[in-house]
Amino acid sequence: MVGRGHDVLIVGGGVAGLRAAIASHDAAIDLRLDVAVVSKVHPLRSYSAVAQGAINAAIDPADSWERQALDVIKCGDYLGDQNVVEVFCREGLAAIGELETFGVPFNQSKDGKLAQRAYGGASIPRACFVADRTGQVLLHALWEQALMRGITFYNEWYVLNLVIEGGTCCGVIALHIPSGKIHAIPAKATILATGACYSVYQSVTRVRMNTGDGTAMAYRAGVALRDMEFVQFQPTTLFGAFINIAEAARGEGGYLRNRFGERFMERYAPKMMELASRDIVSRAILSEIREGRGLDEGYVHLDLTHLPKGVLIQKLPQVCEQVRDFAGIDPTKEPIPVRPGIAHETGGINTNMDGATNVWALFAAGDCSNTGMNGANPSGGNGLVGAVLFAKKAGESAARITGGRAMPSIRPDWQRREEELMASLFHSKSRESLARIRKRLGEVMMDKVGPYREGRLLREAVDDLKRLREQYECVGVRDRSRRFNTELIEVLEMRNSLDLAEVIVASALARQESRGTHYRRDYPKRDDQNWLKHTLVYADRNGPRLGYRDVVITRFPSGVRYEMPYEG
Amino acid sequence: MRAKVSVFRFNRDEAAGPHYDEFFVDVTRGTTVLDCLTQIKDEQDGSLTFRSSCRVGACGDCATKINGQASLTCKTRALKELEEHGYIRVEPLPGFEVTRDLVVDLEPLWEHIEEIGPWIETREHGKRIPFELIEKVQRASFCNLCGICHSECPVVKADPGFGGPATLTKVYRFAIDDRDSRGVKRVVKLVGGSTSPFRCLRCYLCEEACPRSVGPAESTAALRRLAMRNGTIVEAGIRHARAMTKDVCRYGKLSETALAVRTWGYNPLAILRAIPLALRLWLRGKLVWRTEPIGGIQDIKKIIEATEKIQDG
Repeated sequence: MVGRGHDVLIVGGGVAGLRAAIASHDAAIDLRLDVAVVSKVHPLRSYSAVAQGAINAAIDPADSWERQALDVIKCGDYLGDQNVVEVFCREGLAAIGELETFGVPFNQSKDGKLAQRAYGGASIPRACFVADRTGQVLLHALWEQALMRGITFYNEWYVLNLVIEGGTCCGVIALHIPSGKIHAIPAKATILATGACYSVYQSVTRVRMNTGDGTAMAYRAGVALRDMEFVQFQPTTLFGAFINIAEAARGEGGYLRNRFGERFMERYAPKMMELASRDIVSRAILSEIREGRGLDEGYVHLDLTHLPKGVLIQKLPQVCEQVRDFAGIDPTKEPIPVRPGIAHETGGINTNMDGATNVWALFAAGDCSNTGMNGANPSGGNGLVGAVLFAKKAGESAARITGGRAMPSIRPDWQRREEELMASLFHSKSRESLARIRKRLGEVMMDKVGPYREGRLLREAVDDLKRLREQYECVGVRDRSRRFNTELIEVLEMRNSLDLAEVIVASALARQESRGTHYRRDYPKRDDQNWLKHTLVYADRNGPRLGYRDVVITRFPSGVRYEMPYEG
Repeated sequence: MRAKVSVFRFNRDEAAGPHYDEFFVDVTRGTTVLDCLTQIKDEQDGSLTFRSSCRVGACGDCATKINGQASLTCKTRALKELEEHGYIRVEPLPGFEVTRDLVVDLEPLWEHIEEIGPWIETREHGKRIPFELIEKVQRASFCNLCGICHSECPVVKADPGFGGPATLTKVYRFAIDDRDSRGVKRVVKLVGGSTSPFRCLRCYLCEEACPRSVGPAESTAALRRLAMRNGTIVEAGIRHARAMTKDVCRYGKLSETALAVRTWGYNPLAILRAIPLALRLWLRGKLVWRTEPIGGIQDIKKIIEATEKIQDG
């Protein structure tokens, strides 16, 4: 299987990767394209399994794609490309129909219509769901469909690098984790679907595997990244455990209360209350805590005790299970301690709607990519639709370009270079602790590049990252066995995290305004005059080089968001 | 507090055979066993090898055996284990080949799953699952194939050819979905084979161990009912169940002699083989030719009818 190459090679086996694989296969059934998925974990262990809440579609007769589009654009604080938002909203419904055909058992109302729940930033209940395990069920259904189509799987293979020659992607160099051997996998077209980068903010997240591998690899290979300064913090993560309590809990009617029992969202978003956009709710919670209205150790309460028990059991089983398992609290009787955490990178590999990047034959889809749709703050419930919708397009366009292209051959020095890097990691004596670097990186990013930012701190972060990079150079692999060496993988992943952290800080430092998730204390106002534009970042010899591109505005002129989004 | 964690170690490339290493870690109220392993890897021994992915109980990657019980490390609280056992012992998921330390090769499970064709085949696009079925299909769909039930199942231990509870739950998910073109035929096909739901011993170990409460034993029971209702009688298990129900309905107890014959079927070879047993029974006066109904048989009939109605619903 290794070495012969594939027509389309997808890196990443989550919802986006699998959807892209299915699309590539289906785009040319008579051609019998050879499609393969490489993933560093078994596809069913992908982080998509954690996406709990929902998947948006304008189904309700009172809803329309225009209404949804306006919500998405407002939620993104007018930084979303409106042509992309339009396609997203018009085609989202069909994407959901497809998922049903793939076997996804969405919740229904008694009359056989898809059930929809209220969700943050949406002006009408629009979120379809499979209890609160939407992502996991979607992931399994897509994996099953991929199996049916005979797609090749490279499970537990870690991609080390993209092979790009003369501006064309020719495949990847990958490490077979169980044996520790390095192989070249040529491909006529490559799609990156490696997910968002969470690891940079390690101090507020439990997940360690989303390290932005694809994004960082593409960046180093000269692909542009877009809007990386926008990092969304989930408003309600379980205090102490940093497990996201699905937005569905608020969608089903949960209240946020401070230490006086007040529903404090009244002060910040009197109309949308708990269902304001995530950036607004996160900042509101942090304000309450900072001004002394939080509970003892710095959290607020998410109160579900007034909800009927049936709703909790049927629609929020996972929330109940996690709160019970990780905090020992019964959510039907006690409020849940929560605070903002889990940083979700909004930006990613700059692509057009077809997933194409500025390198020929290289595509990107899902959370590792950025089509410009989300703007400065993604709406809850759009992630999964965006992933399946744009991954399908990416898969189809990748299949299209394979026609007439010969299977590229990969020169042996690509593989040799990775083997040398690996050998140096194995032979160098480790003088620095990887865990310490990871911890420090998390602290720097959270303290200085967190929900509240300012120039002085961002400049400090630039220096801190330089120091961390120097320390990283002294890290070696202590585990000398090649077999299933997870320490080696962690060391390689850290390089990606450090690269992306640098990009985030550089983008955030340059953007002198506050918009969506990017809040600058020193520039607390949105500035459409100067900053109604996307940040593009390229890798340069001296670090990140910034460029900008105007936002595409079609029919929704820039205006105020529905409520006071900022501190006040 | 400081806690002792004993971890199974094995790397076939190294001279030291399988053994246990002991570590001491800091444990607080919220610390999970996965946190302990991570702490060891980060601070004490970078070569400790284990799988973990989502770390919040959703993906099923981190299944191991903790103090003798197959569980997800990310969902098991360290303090609880310490209170119950005084120590924490982590071993690889039993029943699978060890790749290294706590990592096992799940390939046998994936092969079973793939063999049943775990995908929906629909001819009618856009047809929705009926409302009444949603809850059942969802529950079975929540299985994340972590492998815990497969490793606990005594039938799998005795015969790795048996697909096990996870595979049967997957079959159930599609068998009840009327949009699937194979639907109930999936289970009919299994009867008499190595993954027949009638091979389940009904021990409920899978049901108890399942970290997602997807009800693997109940799904298997439902598959047995589906198979019987669809007229497959090629297996002794089905004939036995039928004969038993019939006896209880008729007499309120079992007519053992007839039961045995009906379970084996009127198969001359099986009857010949049973002659020594029959002789021994006869010598001890246990071979009963006539069974009389017990008192209150009408009420028993009512109970059985009511139960059947519930099971069908």
